Amino acid sequence: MGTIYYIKDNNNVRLHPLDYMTLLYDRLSGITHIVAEPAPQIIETLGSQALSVEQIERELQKQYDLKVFEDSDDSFADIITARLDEFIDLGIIDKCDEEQKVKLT
Amino acid sequence: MSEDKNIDESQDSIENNMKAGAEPNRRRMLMMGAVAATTAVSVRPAMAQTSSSVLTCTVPIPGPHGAGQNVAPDGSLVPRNTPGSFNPYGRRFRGEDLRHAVRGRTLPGTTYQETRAYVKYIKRLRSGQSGFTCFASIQTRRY
Amino acid sequence: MFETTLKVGPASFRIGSDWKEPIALIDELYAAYPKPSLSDFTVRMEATKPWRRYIRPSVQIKGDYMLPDALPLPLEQAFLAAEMGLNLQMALGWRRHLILHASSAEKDGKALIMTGESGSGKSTLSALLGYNGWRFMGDEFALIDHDNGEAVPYPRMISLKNQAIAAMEKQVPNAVLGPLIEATPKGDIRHMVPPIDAIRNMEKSARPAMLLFPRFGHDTEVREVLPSEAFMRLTQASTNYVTMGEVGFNTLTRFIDETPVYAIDYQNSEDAISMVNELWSKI
Repeated sequence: MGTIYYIKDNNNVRLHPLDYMTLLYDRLSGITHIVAEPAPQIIETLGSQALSVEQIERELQKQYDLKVFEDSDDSFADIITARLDEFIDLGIIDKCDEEQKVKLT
Repeated sequence: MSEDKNIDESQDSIENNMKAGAEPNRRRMLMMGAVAATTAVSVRPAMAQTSSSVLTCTVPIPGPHGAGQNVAPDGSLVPRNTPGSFNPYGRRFRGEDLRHAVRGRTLPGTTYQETRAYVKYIKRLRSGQSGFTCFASIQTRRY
Repeated sequence: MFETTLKVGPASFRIGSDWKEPIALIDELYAAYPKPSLSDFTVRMEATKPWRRYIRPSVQIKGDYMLPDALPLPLEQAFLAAEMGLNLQMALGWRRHLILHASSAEKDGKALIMTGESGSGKSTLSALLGYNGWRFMGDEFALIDHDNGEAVPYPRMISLKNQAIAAMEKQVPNAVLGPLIEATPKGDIRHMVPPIDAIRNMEKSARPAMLLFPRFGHDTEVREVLPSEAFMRLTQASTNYVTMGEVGFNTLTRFIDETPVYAIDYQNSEDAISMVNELWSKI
């Protein structure tokens, strides 16, 4: 039973890169967040889709050479999950079971 | 610490970007960080800094909602004769003095323990309770 | 109730008072400013209790926008009360532009915006630039237009504090000054009427060409500031960024995208002026 993640309100966020940080404007709440890698890349990968952590990791591997902090032995999957949870807490992303796949128009 | 590391690693990623530009087939590096390394800072509203920095505002202790009560060392409101609690007599303290109190100084006319209790009381104030706006405005991070 | 009206930059005010003197003083100091017939905001200086009009008179600032818990001021500080009341209306109520707690000055059709904490020197620097080849645009609020991104002047009375008072009196011997208001929580305050070209040109906006974070009282240094840091600091320097929603986001991101940002630390204002002019010549 896979969990899939999606951006709320059909990807109703705006990304605006600045330097090593990117701005994320959440239209639903009107809140501006300032985010560091790999958050903007995860958001971009999701877009209007609903994806599992494995699918997101695969997509990122295609585009980027993934690295973790020197003193970390966290897996990419665990990190992606943690970042998605962070965005669930911020009210930007939601998750559900694959079976209840949300129809996104 | 992980923040500094993030910057260093991202500087590398910026350099890698530039290198990647010279070799189009090479993927640019993406620093995933670590599970514990949070990535988002949310922009919070700034209070009306101009006005609050010039206007002298005051906080009554206790506010009307606590009239007739004492303040316990943990900042909660307790009945008048509770042992170890302080009677603030409804005094109003200036925003300037409270800002210093938050940083460890004693409020005028009080003991050190009393000040600690009153600071805790104020920190518990919620929007709508007398003194909240004043305290919130002096707490706003100044750049 | 005594009354007057006043227009500063794009904002119009109606100012009422229980006493005649503060209104007379406002009319005198703001003599060169337009007197609008309609007003965006009302500010009132009221006696806290009816008998306080005469006995130990003290002024309560009221208006369309008010801060609860504000202490009244003695009548001698009424002009300060009026200025604070005007600031409050802008800070809490103005939506037509993005408001930055910043000073600004114009040269060659381009605007320099300076922001920083109290004591950074941004107010004094903008005033000094106004007398050194620049046009003063404002010392308290910089207004950024949502459509074209330009900085709009808001040249109210320049607020000088403590040492800056004597410094400006020396630099501008024929300056028109308000009363010296002593021993406020921020020290001594004195208001200075902006240079006449600032008042005459208060409808002329200018494209922002540099954002500066000045810091007085540190060893001389110039640093570039990253856009993300500048953006974050400006959101905290804005009284209406959050309430303006996506419009605010668009205005501020455009500002940051199009404006180089520097931080300067300085020990005296002459050095600061040189550094400003040096940076300006390079853009």
